[in-house]
Amino acid sequence: MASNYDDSVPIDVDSNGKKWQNTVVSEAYPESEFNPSRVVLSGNGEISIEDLLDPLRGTSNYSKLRKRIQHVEKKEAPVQAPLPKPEPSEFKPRTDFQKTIASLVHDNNVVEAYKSDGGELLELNKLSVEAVKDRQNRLAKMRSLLFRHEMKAKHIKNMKSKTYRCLKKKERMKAASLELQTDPKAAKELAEKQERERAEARMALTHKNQGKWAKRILERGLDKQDEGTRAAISEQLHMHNLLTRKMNSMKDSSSSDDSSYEEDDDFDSQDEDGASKLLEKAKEKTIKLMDQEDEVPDSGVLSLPFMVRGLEKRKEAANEEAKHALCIFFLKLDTYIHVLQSIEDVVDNPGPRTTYEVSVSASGSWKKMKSKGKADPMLDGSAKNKPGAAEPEVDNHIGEVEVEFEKDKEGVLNEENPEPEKAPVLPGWGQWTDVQKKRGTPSWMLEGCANAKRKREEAIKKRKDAGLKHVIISEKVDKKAEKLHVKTLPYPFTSKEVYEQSIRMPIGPESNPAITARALTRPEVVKKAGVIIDPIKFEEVDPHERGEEQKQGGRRRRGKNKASANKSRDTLSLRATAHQKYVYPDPIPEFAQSETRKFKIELKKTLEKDIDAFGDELDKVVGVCAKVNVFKL
Amino acid sequence: MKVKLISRSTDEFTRERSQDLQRVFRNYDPNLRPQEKAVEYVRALNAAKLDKIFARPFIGAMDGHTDAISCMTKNPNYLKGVFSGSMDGDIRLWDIACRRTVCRFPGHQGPVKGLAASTDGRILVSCGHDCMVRLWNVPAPSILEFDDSSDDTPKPLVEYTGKYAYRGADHQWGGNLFATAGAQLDIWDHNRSQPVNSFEWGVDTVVSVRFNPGEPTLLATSGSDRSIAVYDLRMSTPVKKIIMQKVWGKLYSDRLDGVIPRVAMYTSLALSEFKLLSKVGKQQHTKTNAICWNPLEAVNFTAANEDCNCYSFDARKLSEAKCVHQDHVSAVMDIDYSPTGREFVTGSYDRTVRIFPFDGGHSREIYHTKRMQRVFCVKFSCDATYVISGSDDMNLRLWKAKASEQLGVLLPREQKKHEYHEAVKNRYKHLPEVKRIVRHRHLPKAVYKAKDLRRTMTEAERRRKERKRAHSGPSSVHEEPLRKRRIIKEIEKAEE
Repeated sequence: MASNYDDSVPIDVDSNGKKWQNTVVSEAYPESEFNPSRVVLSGNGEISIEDLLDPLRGTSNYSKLRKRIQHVEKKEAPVQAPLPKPEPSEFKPRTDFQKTIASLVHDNNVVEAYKSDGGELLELNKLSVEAVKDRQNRLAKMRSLLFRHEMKAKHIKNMKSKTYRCLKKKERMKAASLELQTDPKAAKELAEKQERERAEARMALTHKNQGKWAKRILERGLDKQDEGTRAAISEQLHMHNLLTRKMNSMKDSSSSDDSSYEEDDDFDSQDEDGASKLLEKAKEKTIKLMDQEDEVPDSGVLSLPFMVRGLEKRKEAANEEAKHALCIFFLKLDTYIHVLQSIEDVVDNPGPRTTYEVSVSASGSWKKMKSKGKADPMLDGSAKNKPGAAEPEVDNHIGEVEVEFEKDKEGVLNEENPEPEKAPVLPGWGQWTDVQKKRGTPSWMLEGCANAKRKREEAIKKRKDAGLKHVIISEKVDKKAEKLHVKTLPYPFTSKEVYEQSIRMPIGPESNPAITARALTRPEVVKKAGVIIDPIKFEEVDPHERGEEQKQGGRRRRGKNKASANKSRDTLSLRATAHQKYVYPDPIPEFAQSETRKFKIELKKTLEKDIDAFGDELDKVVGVCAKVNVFKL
Repeated sequence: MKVKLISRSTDEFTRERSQDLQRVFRNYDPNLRPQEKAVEYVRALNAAKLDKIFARPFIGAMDGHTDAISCMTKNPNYLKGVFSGSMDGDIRLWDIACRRTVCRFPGHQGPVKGLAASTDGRILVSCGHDCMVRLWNVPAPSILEFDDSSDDTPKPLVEYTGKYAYRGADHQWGGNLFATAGAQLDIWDHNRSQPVNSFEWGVDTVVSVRFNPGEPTLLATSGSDRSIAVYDLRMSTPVKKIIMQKVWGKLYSDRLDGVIPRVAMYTSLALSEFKLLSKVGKQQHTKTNAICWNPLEAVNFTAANEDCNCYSFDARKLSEAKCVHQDHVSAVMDIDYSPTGREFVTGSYDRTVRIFPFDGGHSREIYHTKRMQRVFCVKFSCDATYVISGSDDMNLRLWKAKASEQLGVLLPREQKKHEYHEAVKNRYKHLPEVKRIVRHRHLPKAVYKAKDLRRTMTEAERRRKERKRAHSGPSSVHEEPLRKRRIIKEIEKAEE
C-alpha cells in the first residue's frame, strides 16, 4: 500500500515555482469497510452489485436479497412494444364542412388535371399568362443584371490607376530598350520593322482620310458613326498628326522652295494679272518667312515636351493671326488695284470684284483656296482643319501644368502662412488617470487651434493673389532687408524719389575727394569751444547790395559756420527790416515808353468825354499826367 | 606696343619725417565700391552705438548753497562766470571751469528771485521777495584768478527798496537799462534811483521778464494771469499780449499742493503771496513760468509753461504758437536758448532737464540724476557747449550740451572723423535700427509712469473728440490745433 501511495503522490509545481512534496498523505475520511477502496476511488474499477452487497453480508435479509438478485439476473423479462399510432389514411370526414371540402378535393376533374398537367391548375389559380411571362422576364433581367454586375466587379478589380499603368509602361519600355541594347540584332530588326511600317503608312496614305471608306464616313458625318468607326478615324488622324509633325521637323528649305515654284506655275496659269501675281509672290514670301521654324533649344526648360508643344501652339496661333492680317491687307490692296483697273476700263466692270486668295495649312503643305465674299474663311478653315486628336492632348498638358502651378502656389502659401499645428497629443499624458481620455483634448487647446486656423484663412484671404488664379505674389517679408527700409516717408521729404536720391551717393572720404567730403560732412552748426557766441544784432542793410549778398550768401553762410561767432554776427541780419526797404527796379526804357504811349491814348480817350471842361488844354493835361516821375529813395 | 607704367616721383612720395602721413591716391569710381552705401549704413549704426557708449553728459555738481537755488544768470562777457541766487538770499559767483564759488554777495533777506548781469559783465542786478533791488560790482576775472581767498565781501553798489516783492529781473543787451518784474513791470537805469518806466497791464503779478537780445528795446513778460505780453520801450504802453486758457487737470495740481507749503516756509511775504496763489491756484495751470528769446532769430521767443509744454511764438503774431514742444511731465520752470539759436534747454518740476531743437516738437535729450530734485533754473553756457542747472537740492550741475561730445582739443583728423560720423548718422537717422538706438533713453521711473499716464489721457481725449466729431454734423465741431488750443485771445493795446 505504501508503495502505491508513493506512486500516486502528486508532484505539484506551485505558481511561485516552488516544488512541494507531500510525503505523508492521510485519508480525508476515516478508513472503514463501507468506504470505497482506493482502487475504486481512483476510478480503476467499477462498483458492482457485489460491492454494494458486501457490507450487508451477515445480516438477516442478506441471503434473501441475494437470491432475489440472482433470480432477476437469470430470468429475462420481455420488453413491451410501444403503442401503435393512428393512420392518416383512415381519416374520414365527419362534419359537414369536412365533407364539402373532401368532395371538392376528391373531385375527378381536379385529380385528373393534377395528374396530367400543372398548367391547367394555373388557369384555375387565375394567374394570367402575361403575368407569368412578366415574372419570367423579370427574373431573366435580374439574372442578367447580376451577371453584368459581376462582370463589372471583375473589370473594376482588374482596373489599375493611371500611375500604375504609367509605371508599368515605363517598365516595359525599359525592358524593351534593355533588350535592344543587349541584342543588336533585335534592335536592327525592330528598326527595320518600324521603317517598313512607316513607309507603308506613307504609301497607303490611310491616315489622310482620302480613302473611299474614310470619305464616305466623313460625308455621312462622324456623329452618326458608332464608336469603333470613330475610334478608327481618330486613330488615323492621330497617325497623320504624328507623321506630319515628323515631316515638318525634317523638312528643309529646299523642299519648300520647290513647292513654291510649283505653285508659282499654277498661278501663272490662273492669273493673267501682273500686279496680282506680284502680290501673290510677296504674300508667299511673307508666309514662308512666318512659317520658318525657330530653332528650339535642345536643353533647358524650353526643351521640355509640353513647353515645346505650348510654344508650337502659340506660334501657330500667332501665324494664323498674321495670316489673317495679311489676308485683309492683300484684300485691301486687291480692291485698290481693281479700282484702278476699273477706272481704266470703266465700261466693262460694273463694280469692284473682290477676290482674295487664302492659304490654309493642311497636311503640311499650302493649299490654295479661292473664295469670294467678305466672310472670314480663314477662321472657318482653320477651325475645320484643326486636327481633332491633338486638342485633348494639349489640354491634358495644360491641365498638368495647371496642377503643377497649383501645387507650387499651395507650397508658397504654406511657407508664408504656415498651417497651424494640430492640438498636441502628448503620449502618456493623462492616460494613467484616464482624465484626458475621458475629456478629450482640453478646450483651450482646441480653441487655440481653431483661432490659428481662422487667422491663417483670413491671412490667406487678405493676400494680394487671393483672387488671382494664375498668379503667385510673394508677400514674404525679408527681415534683414526690412531693417534697411523706412516705414513712412521721413518728414521733410515729399516724395520717395527725392528721399532716395538724398541718400544715394556715399559721403565718406573713401568715395569722395577730400574737399567734397568735407563739404558733405560739414555739420549744421560749427562752433568752437570756449568762444562766446553773441546774439544777433540789428543793422541797416542796403537793398541795392542785395544781389551781391545773395550771390555770396552760400559762401558766407559757410564762412559763418567755419569762422568764429564774431564773424557770424556780421553776416546775419534781420530779414524783416531788409524787406521793408525794397526798391522796385526801373523798367526797361523801351518797355516804359510803349507803356506810356498806351497810357496816354487811353487817358485821352476817357478825358475826351469831358471835352467841355478841358477844352484846348486836353493834350497838356494828358502830357502832365503821363510824365514819368522818378522817385529816388 | 605701349605699356602703361606707374610713375611716381620720389620727391612726392618720400616723407620728410617719419611722423608725416603717407600720400594716398584713391580712385573714386563708384563702380569700384558697389557696397559703399551698405558700409555707410553700418557706420551710421556703429556711430549711433558709440554715441550711446560715450554718452556721459554729467560733468559735475557745484555745492555750496544752503537752500534751493531759485535763479541763475550767466556773465555774458566771461565764459566761466555764473551767478546763482538761492531761496535763503545767498548770491554766489561760480567759476564753472573749477566748479567752485568765487565770490558771495550777501545782503538779501528773502529768496532771491531775479538775477541779471550787464552785457559787459561788470554789474550784477539782483532782486527778491524782500522788495529790494541791489546792484553789485562784479569783481574782474583777473583779480579773481589771482587771489581766490579774498576776504573782503563785496558790498552792493546801490540798493533800491520797492513796494512789492520782486519775481524776476533781466538786463538789456548792450544798454544801461534793466527790468524788474513784480506787481508791475519796472524799467530801471543804472544811474537812476527810481524806475525810468513802469508798466501795469491787468491786475496780476508779472512773473518773469526777458529783454530781446537782438532788438534791445523789446521785452516780453509773463504774468500769473496766464498772460504773455510784449513791450516796446520806445512806446509808453505795452504792445500786445495773449491770455492762455485755464486748464483743469489733475496732473498739475499736485505740483501746487506740494510746493506751496514748502516754499511758503521761507518768508512771511512769500507765504502771503503763495496763499493768494493757492486761492486761485488751481486756475493757474497755463501760467508761463519763463520766457526766452531766440538769440539769432530776433522775432521768436519760447515760453516755458506750467502745463508741461513749451510754446514757441512769433512776436508779431501771437494768436498762434509756431511750435509746441512737449515731453516734460510736469511744469516747465525755466528755459534758456543756446547762443546758436538752434536749441534750448528747459528745467522742469519733474526733476529733469531736457534739450529741445528750436523747431522740434520733442526733446532730443533728457538729463537726470538720482539726486537732482526739482529744477528751478537752467542756463546754456555762452559757447553753447555746456548746460548748467540749479535745483531744489542746493546744487548747481554742469552738463555737456551734447552728451557724447568729446571735450578738449581735437586733432583735425579726429574732428573730421566725428563730423563724418555725425553726418552719416544724420543721413540714416530714419532707418529703424539707427532711429531706435538714437532715440533710446533711460527714464526715471516716475517720469516714465507719468508719461504713460499722460499718453493715456491724451489718447482718451483724442478718442472722445473723434467720437464727438463722428456723431455730429459735418463741420459743426471745429478741431483746433494744439498750437492754438491753449490761447484764448490776443489783445493789442490799441484795441483797449
